[in-house]
Amino acid sequence: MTQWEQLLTTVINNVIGSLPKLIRNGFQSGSVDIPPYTNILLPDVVQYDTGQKSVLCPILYHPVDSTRLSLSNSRLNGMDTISAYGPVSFPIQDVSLSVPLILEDVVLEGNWTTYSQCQKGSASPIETIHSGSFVLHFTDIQFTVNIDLDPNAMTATSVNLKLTDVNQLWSNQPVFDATKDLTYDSRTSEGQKTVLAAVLNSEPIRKKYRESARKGIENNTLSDEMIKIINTLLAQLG
Amino acid sequence: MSNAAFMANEAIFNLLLEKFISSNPNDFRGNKSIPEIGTEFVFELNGAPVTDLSAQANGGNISLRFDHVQLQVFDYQDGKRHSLQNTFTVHLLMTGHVLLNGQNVSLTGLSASASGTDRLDAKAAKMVNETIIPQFQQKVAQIQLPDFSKLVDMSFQLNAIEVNDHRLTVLAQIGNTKGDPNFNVSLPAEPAIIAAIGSSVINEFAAAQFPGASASVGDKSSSWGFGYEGHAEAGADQPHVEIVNGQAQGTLPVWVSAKGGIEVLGQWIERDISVSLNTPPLNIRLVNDSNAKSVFIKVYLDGNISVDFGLPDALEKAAEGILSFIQPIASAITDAINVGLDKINIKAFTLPSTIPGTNFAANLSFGWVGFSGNCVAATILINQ
Repeated sequence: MTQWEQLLTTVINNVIGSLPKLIRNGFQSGSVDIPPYTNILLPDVVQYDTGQKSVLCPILYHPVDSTRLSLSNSRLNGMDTISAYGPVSFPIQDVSLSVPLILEDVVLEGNWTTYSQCQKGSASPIETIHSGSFVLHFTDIQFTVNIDLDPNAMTATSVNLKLTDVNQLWSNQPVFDATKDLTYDSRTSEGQKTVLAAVLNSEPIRKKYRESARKGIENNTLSDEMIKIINTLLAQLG
Repeated sequence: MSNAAFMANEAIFNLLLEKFISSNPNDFRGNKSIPEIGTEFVFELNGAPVTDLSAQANGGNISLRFDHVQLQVFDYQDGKRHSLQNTFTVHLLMTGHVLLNGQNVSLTGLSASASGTDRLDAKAAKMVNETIIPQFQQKVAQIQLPDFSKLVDMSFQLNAIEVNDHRLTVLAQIGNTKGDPNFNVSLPAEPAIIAAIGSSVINEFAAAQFPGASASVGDKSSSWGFGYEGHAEAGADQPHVEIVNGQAQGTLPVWVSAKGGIEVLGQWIERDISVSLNTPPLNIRLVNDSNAKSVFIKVYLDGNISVDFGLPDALEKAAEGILSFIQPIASAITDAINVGLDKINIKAFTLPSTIPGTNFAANLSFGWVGFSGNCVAATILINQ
């Protein structure tokens, strides 16, 4: 390992070690002002077709189409549980480095809404809506941060965060406990809760949660902020 | 126009810079902390640089290679430095110009570059350029380079500077005489300076300090209307000394006149006496003071003056007596000249107790003193 790589290793390890605090509190140094990386708003999922004709209609009504699901106000927290679980490596000597990282507990929370077309006899279908909130946990998420440096200026030019799932836990995420993780509006019957829990815990929907969480983890905002933090450090050297 | 020269080797620059850096450590270290990331960088320029006095690729005439620049990374928490995380030794090359700034030799225009191949060297060079050099430019410019005036007890004017063959040569003018200093003295590997004074300077000082010499002898003997007499006078002025091909030589114009007379029946007959002079050459010797901290230049007559007299026929009858009166003129003028030459006392080289022009204590000694080319030269060794 070259001395430059040793220095980068030390610096990057310090950055990684400081990330939990920086993610919680933000980072301000000189002209660099980075806000906290918490409560990250994720894109809404709108009217996603679950492909299931769920029994969510009022009495005497029957479903005439598959239930659609929207996820709104989705927010990600827990990025401050980040840490490194392996050494810094240099795929390209001096100018490209890679750090295996792990997120201990990432929380995805938001609101869900289901839309079901229900029909009574030959009358025109009416839409039945159920809503509530969810709080989901993703644990031990493994990903890698790849950092490229400008070989001349020796500053970070790109930082990419990529979920690697080396421990193969990701595909089973989130761990779902309907009794704790979901809330329902007051009009929802116990039977409907059971149906809704099954819908919200179905693999297509769990995949939607994972996609949302992945966007938060691999977010360009976090990459950009890491570039700024690393360059702020390296700038101290000249 | 220069008639004296000083030559310094790279070792004395190494020594001076090491002394300067070690005595001003705070000027060559710095730290940068980033509390938010728990990191503090501490950099320190220490150790002796390796000086190269030669034309540099970037146009400078000096480079200083620092192989012991230390960069440390500390864990920094709660406004305090904690554990040392890593230490790096980087290699830097500073290039610049040694030039004559008025009557001082100064070091200017320093810039750093990497002398090693590790990218950290390049980063450190950037750090030094952006942080250390601007911060310490004034200090760097104040690095005390040898002040040669402390080595020669004569006032002189520095005229020019030359850097080549891994040595610095400064040309100087003492007094008003012309004469390019030409000498061939090797610089040793250890810190040393060669000081060389052209013989035209020595000649100028010798001529100015020589008070002149004169002597006269003579007497008369007379009895019952018969007698004889003889008188002689001599003088010497304007000595001329020079060093040619490492050999000192010189001349001193001496004149002697004599006359004699005889008395016959109370009548004196006087005649001039012809004189044939044999004047030895002048020479130069170098003298140490008692503690060998100064070297003086002395001029001396390398032998005795001898005089042959040719008496005219008219004086032959009393030749023996007349000659007895005038022959002492040879030793008389020799003595007078020696007294006059002894007044010449040229303090050529003197050794301060510090590296010349600095406050750094050092033990200076003469390594070699002698004549070389057309100069009197001294190798001055500087030991810590």
